[in-house]
Amino acid sequence: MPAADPLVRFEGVGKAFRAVRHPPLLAEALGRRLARRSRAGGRFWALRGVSFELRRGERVALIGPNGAGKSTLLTLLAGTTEPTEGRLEVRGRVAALLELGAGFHPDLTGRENIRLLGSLLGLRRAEVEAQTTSIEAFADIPEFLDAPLRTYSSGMMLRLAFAVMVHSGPDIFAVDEVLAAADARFQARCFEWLAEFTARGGATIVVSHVIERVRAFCTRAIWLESGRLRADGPLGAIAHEYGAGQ
Amino acid sequence: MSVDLGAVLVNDPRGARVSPSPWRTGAGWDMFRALVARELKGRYKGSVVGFVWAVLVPLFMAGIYTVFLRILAGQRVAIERVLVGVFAWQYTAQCVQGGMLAVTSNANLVKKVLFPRMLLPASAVAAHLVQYLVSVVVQTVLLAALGGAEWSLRGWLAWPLVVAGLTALNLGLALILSAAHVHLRDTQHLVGVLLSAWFFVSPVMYDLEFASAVVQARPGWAPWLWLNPLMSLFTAARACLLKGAAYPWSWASAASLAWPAVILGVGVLVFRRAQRHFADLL
Repeated sequence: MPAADPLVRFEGVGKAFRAVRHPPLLAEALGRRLARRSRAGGRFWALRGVSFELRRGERVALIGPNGAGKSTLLTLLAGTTEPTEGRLEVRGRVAALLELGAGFHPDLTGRENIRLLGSLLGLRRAEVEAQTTSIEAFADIPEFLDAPLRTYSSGMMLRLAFAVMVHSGPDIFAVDEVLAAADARFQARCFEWLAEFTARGGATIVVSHVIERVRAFCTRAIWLESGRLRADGPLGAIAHEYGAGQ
Repeated sequence: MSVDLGAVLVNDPRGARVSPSPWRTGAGWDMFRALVARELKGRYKGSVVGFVWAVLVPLFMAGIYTVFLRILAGQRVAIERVLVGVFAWQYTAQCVQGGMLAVTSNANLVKKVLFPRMLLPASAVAAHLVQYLVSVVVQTVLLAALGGAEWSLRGWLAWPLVVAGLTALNLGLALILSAAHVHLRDTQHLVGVLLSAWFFVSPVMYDLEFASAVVQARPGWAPWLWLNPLMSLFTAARACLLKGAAYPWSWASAASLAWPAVILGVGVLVFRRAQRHFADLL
């Protein structure tokens, strides 16, 4: 594989939602049909015309105010939604820690949830078994592993999720503000791991609307605003302009 | 970092495609197992008798129906026929109710993690199948105790086919309803009503003979009986397991046994079409 091959390539990606985003009730759906209003009428572009590439070893900050399209971009990257226009390619596994508790079951214990999330992230059963000790060590909450997840604090949940994702063999790792749920020591450990991971050839995306939080770690910034790519380049250069606008 | 890149995801307006698919690498089956384990463990966590409820609930239902049927219809009501009917009905009813919510109740998973979405309704049905099979053990013991069981090799060989048919039907319904519920939240209320109606037109508390007698008084109704997939499946279940019960082979009754395959096929097609928009609608 040529080293120049990007891990991620977005080509003119756009994602539109219908303006009414909750599923219509029967009456609404019928009403709309009767009123002959076009369904494509109220379109909202959460993301449009976004192109960029991501290579091995990059530490990228995805920045922008609320509603800029950061989360939409990440769901496209994870493949859970499809773009309305354009095309994107991801070579490798994506681990995205975006919401606490995604993939977990509140009534199962920490240990059972490790197995569940590991499998959903694509690990084989044997791989999960083989790495259980290492996952538990990374999470470092030995006294809670046999307690149901609903008794966990958000910090503990984060530890467990991060530990499983670290062991899922990712090529691209995306985190957002959920990291703030962890205490300083665990956060430091996460960034230490991410630095090592990137050095080994992974790519890291840190999502934030506050550039100061990502300044220490990231070297490149992708700035989204109202669904458009406002700037893409060295973080130092962008930070000044972004900071001025906040 | 390994040189092996694992999967390649291509995502464009035609949908997200991963190669190699998790089914080719075997990871899909591990996900399935993990999700079934979650269903089974999660369902009874925190309850005192836990999995015993899988048996107790249909047992109570069968008891209630038998008592009231005997009050209403007299001592002729055969407990063992009600037992087989109620246990099988519980399996279908739970698959319909639980399967319908399989996607919507896992919204955060569907939005954040890419995995074959069909595993959600499939694992819900599989977990109910496990429960049903456990309740079948109890059913067999009870039938033996009541003396109504027919111990024929033919019956016991055909029985797994009936369970397979029932499972295919339940899975097909779970696929259709779970996809429908994402797109239209009215599904839940509609299904509640339809499920009660389905219970009464299906031979759960009664059997084919009773239904035939009712139908005979009304010319033109007879062929419609077999339009209900549960008419053939429950009648076949009783024919396999009970003394004096037989499957009345005719063109209509034979064709009725093809229902599960049809519903499952439709379910897979509907779900495949609908799943692309799940994450946008949840």
